[in-house]
Amino acid sequence: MNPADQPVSSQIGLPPKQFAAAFPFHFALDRNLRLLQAGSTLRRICGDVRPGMDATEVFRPVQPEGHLTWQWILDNRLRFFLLDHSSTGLRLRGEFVLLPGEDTLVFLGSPWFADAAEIAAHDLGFEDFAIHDPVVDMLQVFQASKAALADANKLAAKLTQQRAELRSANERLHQQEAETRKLALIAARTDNAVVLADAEGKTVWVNEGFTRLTGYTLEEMRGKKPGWVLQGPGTDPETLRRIRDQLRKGAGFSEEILNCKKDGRTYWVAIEVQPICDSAGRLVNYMSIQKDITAQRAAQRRLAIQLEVSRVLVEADELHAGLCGLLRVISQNLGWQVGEFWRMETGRLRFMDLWYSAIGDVAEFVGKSYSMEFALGVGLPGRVWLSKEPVWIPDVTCDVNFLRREVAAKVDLHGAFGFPVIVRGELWGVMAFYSRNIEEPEDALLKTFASVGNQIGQFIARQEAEQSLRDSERRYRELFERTSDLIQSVAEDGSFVYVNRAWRDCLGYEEEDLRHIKVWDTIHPDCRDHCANIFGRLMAGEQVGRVDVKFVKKTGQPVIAEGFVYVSAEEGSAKHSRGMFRDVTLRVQAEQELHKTNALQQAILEGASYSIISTSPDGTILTFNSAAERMLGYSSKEVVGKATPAIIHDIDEVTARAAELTRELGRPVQPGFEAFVAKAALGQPDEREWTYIRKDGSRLPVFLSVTALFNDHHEIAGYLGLASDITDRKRAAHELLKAKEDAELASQAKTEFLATISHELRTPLTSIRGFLQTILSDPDMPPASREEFLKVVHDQSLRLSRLVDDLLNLTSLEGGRGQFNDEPLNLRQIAENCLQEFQPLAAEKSLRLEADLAATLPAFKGDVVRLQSVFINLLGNAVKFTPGGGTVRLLLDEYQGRIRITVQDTGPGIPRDQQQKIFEKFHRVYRRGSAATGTGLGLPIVQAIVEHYHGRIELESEEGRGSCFRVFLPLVQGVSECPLGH
Amino acid sequence: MYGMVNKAVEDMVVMQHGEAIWEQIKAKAGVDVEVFISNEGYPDEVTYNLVAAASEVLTMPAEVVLHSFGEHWVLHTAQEGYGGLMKAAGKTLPEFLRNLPNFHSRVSMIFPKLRPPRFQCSDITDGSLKLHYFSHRQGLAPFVVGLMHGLGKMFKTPVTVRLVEALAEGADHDVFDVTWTPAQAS
Repeated sequence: MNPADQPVSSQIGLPPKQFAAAFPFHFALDRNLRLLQAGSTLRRICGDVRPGMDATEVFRPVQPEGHLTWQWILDNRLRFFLLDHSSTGLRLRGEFVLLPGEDTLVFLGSPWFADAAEIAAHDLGFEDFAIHDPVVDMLQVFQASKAALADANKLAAKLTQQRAELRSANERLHQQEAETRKLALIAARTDNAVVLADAEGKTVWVNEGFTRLTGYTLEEMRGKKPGWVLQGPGTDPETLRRIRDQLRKGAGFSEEILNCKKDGRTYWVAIEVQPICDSAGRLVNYMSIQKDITAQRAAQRRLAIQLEVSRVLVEADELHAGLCGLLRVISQNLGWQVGEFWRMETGRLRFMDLWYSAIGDVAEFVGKSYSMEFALGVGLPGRVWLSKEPVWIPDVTCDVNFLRREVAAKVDLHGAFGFPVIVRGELWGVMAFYSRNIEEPEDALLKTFASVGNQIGQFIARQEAEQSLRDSERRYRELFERTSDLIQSVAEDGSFVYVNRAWRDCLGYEEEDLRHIKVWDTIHPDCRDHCANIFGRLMAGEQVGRVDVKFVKKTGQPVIAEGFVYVSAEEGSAKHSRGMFRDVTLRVQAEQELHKTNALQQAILEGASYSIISTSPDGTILTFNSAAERMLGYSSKEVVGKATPAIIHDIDEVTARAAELTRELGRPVQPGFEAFVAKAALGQPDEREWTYIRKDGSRLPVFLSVTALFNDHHEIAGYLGLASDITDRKRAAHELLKAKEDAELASQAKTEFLATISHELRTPLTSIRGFLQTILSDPDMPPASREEFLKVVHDQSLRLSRLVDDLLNLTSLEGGRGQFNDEPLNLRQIAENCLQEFQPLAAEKSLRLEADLAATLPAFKGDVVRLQSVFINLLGNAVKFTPGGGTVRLLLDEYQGRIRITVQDTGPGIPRDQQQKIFEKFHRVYRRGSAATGTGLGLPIVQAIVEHYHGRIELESEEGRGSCFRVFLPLVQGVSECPLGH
Repeated sequence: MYGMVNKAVEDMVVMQHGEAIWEQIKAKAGVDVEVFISNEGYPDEVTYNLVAAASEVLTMPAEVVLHSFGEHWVLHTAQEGYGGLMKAAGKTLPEFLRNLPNFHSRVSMIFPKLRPPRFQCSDITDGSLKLHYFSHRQGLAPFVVGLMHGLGKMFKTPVTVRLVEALAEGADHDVFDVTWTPAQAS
């Protein structure tokens, strides 16, 4: 127990434990408002409530309003206090009690909560409250009140909702009542007939519309089933059966039915019957609404007649069948028995056709019709003719103008009407129909038949036009069939629509075949792509026009044709390609043969090496072949049709030939074109040499053969000149002549050579033989003489030997058989060696032998022996022919890319006239007083060697002043040297 | 029976089966009441008829319906309307059960037309007690079992309830042996 409680409990006189249990939220204050003690629960949940604390800091008064003071509390201690605990917000309710001694105030109270949740929020439970404390009970009361209030609100909302629903239902009910009243009004006043029947189908109520429609009043109908009253003999039994079935099942239905009015007239109604059940689902009434559809039905019948008429007219392919069909469908749609057609012929309406129903015997009536004819205004047809309008007769038996009224009455025909058939504004005929019933006129039906009459008129006009067209087509077809051209019409898929007889005959197909083949089967494989292309272009709308086609017969043979194709473009019809072709196979074959022949002729013409020129009879050039172009320099375009052969001839020759022919033929021949053809025109060949003059003026020898060309009538159609170029022939002849001359010269040279060589050989041999004979014949010859003679023999034998060597050497060089062993040479060394060889002889003759040899020379390849021969022959001649005291010089250098060898002497020189000849064999320069020896072959040998190396040799010499030989050897062997100055 | 009971039955049926089923049950029970007023007294027959009709419509035994109703009462009805008070009545299942008799006494004070049952606890241990249920109405023992199971769920304390003495079997009142797991309850 808390000691702080002690004083209070003791002052109150309660045991402390009970006090604490009874007041767990109490607290006590002294005069200074210091807390003396507090209840256990209060202390637990309000931590700052402890002894010694200033109450004014812990609690704040809410009721009454004021500040906590001792006196203020005393003044208000009889009032109800509300105190808030400052830090937790816990609100306490209770009262202050002044304890005896008047030094202590005790607050007795407990927390106040407006919601049970606050208990838990302050960490309180039921056990924290004194049992007597009503706070928890109050909270329960609050909660119960809140629940009750929520229930009341829910109830109120429910009531509000129900009231709204009730109001809405009332409004709907009012609307339904209004609708019902309106419907009742409508039902009463509607044009439709409304019948209300009971569950047995007996009439309870009918509206005014019913009375207007049927003529029966409510009183007349009440208690009767409507069917008993309204159905008549025309009512469809099948429809009635369906209606009864539905009524037996208590089901609604809709039907259209033919009924009878009170006055006996029939009418069509659309009936809609609905069963009416009570809330328990029991059938109590039938409500029937009937709409008069008589006019609608009549309109449908008229429409049906029009449709049937249109159908018959569309399907009919000839007039008679069309008219029969019209009579039948109109009669059947109207339900009438007889239909007739009267044709206007020669001013009368005469019987043409009729139809009559198998039901009923009208044979007598129609039998009479066959023999009848009507004048204007007589009978039904005549009245229609007169008015050119439809005419209606309700009962022909009462019509005095109806000629067959008696027989009509006999077969029970009454109602009738007729209408005119107008073609191109003129009455063409009249249609008339007859019924068993007396028929009241129907204006709408008459108008319909006026329209039908026009429609039939158009049909007849069309039939006539089509007949005319058919006649025309028949004529054209005959034309097509009889023509020799191939005519075909092909559909877009390639199937044949039509081909004519010529087509079939040509390609070998029968009509039956055409159903099984396509156009492609008749096209030759070579031509199919071409034709497919044309066909595609045609179908695409392109104009193709003329075409060449290669057909193939059924037997496989080709047929070449030409013609034209086009596409039919009739609106609304399928596209057809149509073509007309002509068989040109024979012509094409002939053309091909001709072409081949022409090509061959052209090839011959162009391929010939002869100049071929043809002319017209008057000389105009017509043909000028390629050889002529090449030969003369003119193109065929320049001369063909423009010139005569005179432009390519020498006028002097032509003039001379004309004179010659004048003499030969004994008549004047003009020096023009006639000079070429005068003999040919006589049929004689004229072949001779002429001189052609080319376009560039140069001349050309030709051998020309002129022939006249004759046509089938043996008339001269022109002339043909064949000319061959004989330049080569002439040149060959010239060369042959020259060769002959050369051969003769060579033979002469050979003779001379043989003579010369014989002489050259004979001379030393004669000397040798002579001296040897002398020696042999004189054994006593003194030795000195013998030795002298023998020396001569020796010298001559040496000469003879040298002569033979030189001759062999030269012969081998000239014949190209000389052996050349080329190798790199040192020409300076060769020159020095040769000079060295001639030193003794020069010294012997007191000659100066000088040399000027280049220190360096380009490398030169050659045969050392041959080159030595060059040096030795030139130096030998110089030394030999230079008189004593003279000078011989040898120079060796490079000059303009060549090796130059110069041998110069101060000898007697060589006469100008012999400077060429010294290079000829055995030629020696004759010099008076000179006894020069030599073979006459040295210089020819030098020349042959130099020429072998493609070099050249020059001579510069003047009599009395010496000679100078220069040899030029090219460094690049194989390149010919040209003489200086060239 | 006060309206809150019937309302609780309505609430349970609507929540679990929908408004249409409730209307069907009401029609079958012959109860033409749009809104039950919580603190308004209604004849006990109304409640009994509703339970019987629910049993029939929902094809469940009446005991199952009452058991469900007991659970629903604790977990939904009492929570929604008296959540604060329920929490103040105890922080644990044993504490709540101990306060139950007083709680009911106070309720009977607030609703004077109520003839509420009376609860009494005996043989209280840490894990069990005996709950004595005194009621003038028959057949509501399954409802009490449902209440106990609902409280077990509310306090997250698995609870076992066993009817050990039954008014229907001639006893003075119904006695339930209520046991729970002490550790989780504390």
